[in-house]
Amino acid sequence: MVEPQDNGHYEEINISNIGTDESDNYFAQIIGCVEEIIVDEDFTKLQNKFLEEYWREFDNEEENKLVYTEIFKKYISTIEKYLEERLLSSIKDFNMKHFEEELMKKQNELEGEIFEILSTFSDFGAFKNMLLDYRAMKEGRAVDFSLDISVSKYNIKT
Amino acid sequence: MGFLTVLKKMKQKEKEMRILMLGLDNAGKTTILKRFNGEPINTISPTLGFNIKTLEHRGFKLNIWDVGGQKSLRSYWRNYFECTDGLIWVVDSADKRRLEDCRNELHVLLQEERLAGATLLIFANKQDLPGACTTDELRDILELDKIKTHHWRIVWCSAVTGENLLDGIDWMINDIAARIFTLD
Repeated sequence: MVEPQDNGHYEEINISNIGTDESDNYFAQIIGCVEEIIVDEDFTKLQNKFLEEYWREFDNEEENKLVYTEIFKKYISTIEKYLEERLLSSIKDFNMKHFEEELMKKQNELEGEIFEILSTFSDFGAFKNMLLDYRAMKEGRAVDFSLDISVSKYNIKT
Repeated sequence: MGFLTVLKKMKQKEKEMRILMLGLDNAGKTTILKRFNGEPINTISPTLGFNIKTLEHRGFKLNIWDVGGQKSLRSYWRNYFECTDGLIWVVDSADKRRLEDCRNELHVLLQEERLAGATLLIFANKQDLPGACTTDELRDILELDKIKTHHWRIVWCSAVTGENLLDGIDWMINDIAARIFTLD
């Protein structure tokens, strides 16, 4: 409580800042947690499991098959579900709806690599390329740089 | 819509638009898309899946999705509705036999909630063919004046000659831009 001072004026306290800080902190905590989750090897395992299951469906034809869209939707929901579960277990009182609202409120200040990565998850072109890259790797078509490197003894003239 | 989709939408670059192109099979959707993109149009076969092209035009980035129109594929159209800013409905103006089918499909589509905010451009394609219906005739046959839910316009064009394609696209871009970008 702010008590009236002797001269009869109230001390000014900007309450709106306090509220913002709290929600900022909460938001930063969630984003920090999301970062940890997606660099964790469990997340890579989840992705690889998905790639392993579906890479055979994808080919290099320019025209996309309708099934790509179904697989893509499955991919997005798999990742969303995983992130949500992990956030629920790491952050007390985590609420997805609330988090989405915070995202909306801050939509003009979402700078940084983490947001680029997150928005790539729901980019169809990026998704298709990832599957095609995986396919190339499975079929041994990935560029093998070792063929381009030759190691030889280098004599330094003295 | 999950949170990743929400995020993608928010991170959508300024002046970026998602355009969905639909219509009966053999209407010329893929030819229009390739024509826009400056690709050859002499080897196009019926689309069984979908094509995506990203074009830069007048400083806007257009993500155009073209989905096959055969009857067996139409039930999949729904998978492409989300986040659509503009809908291009392509009509084979010379295929009079199927205009009724074309009208029905269009009007069903317009009831779709997820397309509610989209600007509608109707391309009266194949105007280079003899016997093609005029835009006035199509306006009647397709009952376009009944459309009250969307901003719409019908524009004649020929994907083969490329005539008038840009006029249609420019109208659509202006309409979408007036709706979306002036709100900020």
